[in-house]
Amino acid sequence: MRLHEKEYVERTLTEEEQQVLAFLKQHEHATLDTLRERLGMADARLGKAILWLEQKGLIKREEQDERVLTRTPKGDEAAQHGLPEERLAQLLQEQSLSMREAKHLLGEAFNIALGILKRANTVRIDQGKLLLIKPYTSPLAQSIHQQTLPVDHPHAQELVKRGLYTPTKEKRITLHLTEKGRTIRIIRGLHDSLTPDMLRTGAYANKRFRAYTIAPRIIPADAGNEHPTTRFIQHIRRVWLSLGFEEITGNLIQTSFWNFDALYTPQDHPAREMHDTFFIKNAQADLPDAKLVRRVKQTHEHGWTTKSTGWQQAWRKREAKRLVLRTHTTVLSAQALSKITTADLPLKVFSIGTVFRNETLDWKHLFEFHQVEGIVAAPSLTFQHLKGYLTTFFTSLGYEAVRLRPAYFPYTELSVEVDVKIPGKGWMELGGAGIFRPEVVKPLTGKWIPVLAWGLGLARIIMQTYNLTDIRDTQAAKLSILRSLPDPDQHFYAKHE
Amino acid sequence: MPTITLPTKRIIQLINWTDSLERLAERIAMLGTDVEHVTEEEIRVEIFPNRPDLLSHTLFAKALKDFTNPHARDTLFQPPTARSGKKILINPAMKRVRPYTLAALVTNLTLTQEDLDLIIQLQEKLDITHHRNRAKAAAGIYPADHIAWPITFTTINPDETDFTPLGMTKPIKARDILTQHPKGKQYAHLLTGLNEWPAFKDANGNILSIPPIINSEETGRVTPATRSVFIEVSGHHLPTLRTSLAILTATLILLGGTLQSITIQYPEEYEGVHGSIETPSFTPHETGLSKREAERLIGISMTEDEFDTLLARMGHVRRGSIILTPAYRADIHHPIDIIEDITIAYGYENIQPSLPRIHTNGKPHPREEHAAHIRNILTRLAYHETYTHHLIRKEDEDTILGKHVKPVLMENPLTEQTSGFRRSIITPLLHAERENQQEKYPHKLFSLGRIARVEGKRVIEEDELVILYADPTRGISQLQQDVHALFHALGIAEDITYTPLLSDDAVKAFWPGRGMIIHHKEKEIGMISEIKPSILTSLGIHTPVFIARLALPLLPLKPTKPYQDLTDL
Repeated sequence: MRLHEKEYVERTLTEEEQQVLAFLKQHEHATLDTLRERLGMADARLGKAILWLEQKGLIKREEQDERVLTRTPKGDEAAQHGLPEERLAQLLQEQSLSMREAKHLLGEAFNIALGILKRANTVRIDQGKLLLIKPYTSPLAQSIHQQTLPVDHPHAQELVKRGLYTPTKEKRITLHLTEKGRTIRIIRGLHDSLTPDMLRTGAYANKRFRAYTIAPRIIPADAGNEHPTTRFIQHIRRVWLSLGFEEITGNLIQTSFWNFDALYTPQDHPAREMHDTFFIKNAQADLPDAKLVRRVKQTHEHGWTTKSTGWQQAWRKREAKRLVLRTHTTVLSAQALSKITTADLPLKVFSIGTVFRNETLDWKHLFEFHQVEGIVAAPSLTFQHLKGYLTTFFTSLGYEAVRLRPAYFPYTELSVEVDVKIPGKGWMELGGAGIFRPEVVKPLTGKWIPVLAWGLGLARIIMQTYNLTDIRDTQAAKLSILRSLPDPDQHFYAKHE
Repeated sequence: MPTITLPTKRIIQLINWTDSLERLAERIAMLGTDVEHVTEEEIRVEIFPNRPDLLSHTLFAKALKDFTNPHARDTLFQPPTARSGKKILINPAMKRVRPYTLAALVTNLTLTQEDLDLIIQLQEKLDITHHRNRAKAAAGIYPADHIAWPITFTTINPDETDFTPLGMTKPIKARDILTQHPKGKQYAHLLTGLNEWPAFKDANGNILSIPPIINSEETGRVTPATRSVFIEVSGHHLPTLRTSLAILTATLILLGGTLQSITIQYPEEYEGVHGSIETPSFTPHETGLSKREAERLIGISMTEDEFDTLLARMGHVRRGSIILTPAYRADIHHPIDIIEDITIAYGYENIQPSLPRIHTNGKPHPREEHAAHIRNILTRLAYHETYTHHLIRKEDEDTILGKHVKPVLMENPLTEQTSGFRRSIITPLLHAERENQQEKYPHKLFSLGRIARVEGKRVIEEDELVILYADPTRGISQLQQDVHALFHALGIAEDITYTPLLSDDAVKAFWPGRGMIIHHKEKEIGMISEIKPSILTSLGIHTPVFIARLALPLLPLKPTKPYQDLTDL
């Protein structure tokens, strides 16, 4: 079955379109007013039918400016309640009135009304009383009920002079049948819907159905979506899982012991000062088992058995007990290391989670953001392998080059800053990595094992993926953003092509 | 991290640089600093806190010169020292006031104004980082010519001592420095409330300085005319003092000065150090490290000669199995710190990436899988996951939840907007709805994640799921259908029962009589309710809003039956 274009158009016509088209086929052209008058259709439906017929190229609209007389508010009043002279005549027909009474009833319009009635010889004044001589009908009575009148109306001058009408310009719309319109047939009795009844009875077989028109602007239906940041995180999870890593998770509120001390961050380190880290004021927590705490204390103070000098200053439990909102997911890696035995090696774990920094929210700063963290622990690991994992990870996200630069973190040595290359923009700094220091590993595990570690911020890479310029949009709650951002996988696939 | 600015011309002259500025910037970064920019005029770099020596322009230049020299040898900094015979006497009372000082004399100096400015920059940056804002240590540099020896390190009574601090013309009472002098105000917290203050006095009884605040105007101003200087560091932590004195002294020696040591006479009974000691000490740090250990961790192999060159390029030297490191380095705690230096000299860019042959299985965490599953169901029901912050203004949450649950409060939030940890996701999700009022309806939002509260003195962290539905025409039945669809997808719908919500005790914003409590096998797992109109009005929301709150861990995944093999049918 194949519909020819002409037949398709014929089948798309609604009842209203058919009525308008039929009228024009008969009269070739018509003004909007004529159509309104003759078809007796509601304005909205008529307007829609005309618009659709125009879009289908079946009719054409011509607009002309026309000079007309338009009724003024004063004219509106006269149309509703009658012209003053008519009202006066009406009153006098019921009973004669004194000049004062009549003036009181008609108000300002009394003088004009009386003048007109006098000139028409329909009223007489007798001893201060007004008497009607004969019934009166105004020659304007018919006209005043029209909103607009042609400029060549016989009473035009009077109507304008009395302020009942004023000359204005009006758009006059004329609709013409086009060549295409002429060829279109009008098919009556088209059905809108196929109903279960028709299917059951087979009645559809001898019915003709209306064809669907294509809407000019289609508004997409609202599909639900994971948050763009979640979708990005899910993608990263798949990468680490596919590389054989086990996922770990943990609390957002941690002791300073896990967040700092277990990671060989000295107790007077600037990061532990108020302005960087959120400290909790109304709760406490215990330290882990005494053996681990003792090892950490001794490592800080003089190196314990790690061959380190330590920080050579007193280490205080009270400082370690302070609760903080974790400043890095590295705290989870430290906890994972504290639980392993030699039998658990090689260990490969990762986590993706929220971390906190005491900042004011603006387009460049967040007070909470996501980090992806990973560690690999095995006796034979080297710095080459750290570079290997980081390169593999970023390559699988579609970045072509990874650069490592020397850096400093209290808990790693060697320490590196990780940059990836953004085509056309240069290097973008994404976070830190390194090999955990013996001062970290040995207190946690009881022995020295090389542990490769990285903690990478996600906000910048998410901004880059979705082309965002305001970092707060990575945490959007606005539906306009949530509904519009495409799936990040698209970006990754595009990069792999 | 402190940022320093160095004059490019001076650095280029000090290291005989002939290559491009781009290459210079790249080399500075690969030495281990965070380069902000390198222009014709200036080099701006952030110095990592473990390398305070690089805050000095002459030590920075030396490090860069050695690092960029492929044939470096014998770069260990060890200046010849002569005894000056001059003394500093320590008053035993200093033990409780400011226990330690170390000092040096550098003579035969010719200093330019540029050098002086760079030395002031070095002192200021040392104070911020290595000296922990002078709480741990502070340093002073004085023209040596007018000092009458010996100096005593002693206490003064701040209310009875007159002193003219650097930059003032008339003497004032020592204690008034804390309110009248800019440095005094800046470091007032270090001396406020103390009735014994530390001071360096010379043999004529002149006060040279009041550490850790300020030098004297009369004896403490160094100018380009100054030919010899006295340097002291004082404070509470000896290792910090040693490094700082070495950095300051080495900086001046590299400008052409001659080093003379000073005898510090500590009391016989003193903690950490006692009797006479000669300072400064440029005795190198000694670290035991073999080439093999370095090779194993880096994953490269080197010849003996290459090993020595890499060490020399970072200022170290090998003596047998011991590596010697200059005294001004603060970062050598462990042999691994030397291994990092070797790797930096080798070049991070020259390391070949490789993956170890380790087999492990990937394993997702059940909590994350569970969350992903729930997200999947809700997005299929056309809900949008919305980001909600964990931190919130405590009072905003009180309005919505009431005050019966104790929040986890921040001690030091930068703004009120982050004063508390959310007790529920309800409030942030309502805030999200407020932001979305111009958007097309219906609004179907959800957010899941951590909430926390304080019980007793302990923090309890839990996971929560909150679902929001807002539409001008449809009501609670739509949300209830969706929530029940979630239960159905989880396989627990038949065990779910509802009872009417009759009170707003749990959530003040919930509307008694227009909500229900959700139970799974008799256990309460959540609530679903219309939000009270008064709450909506107070939030400026003009559309009815419905919320479901569910305890995430109490939404179990019912184990599905294993598929039956076709042959069993």
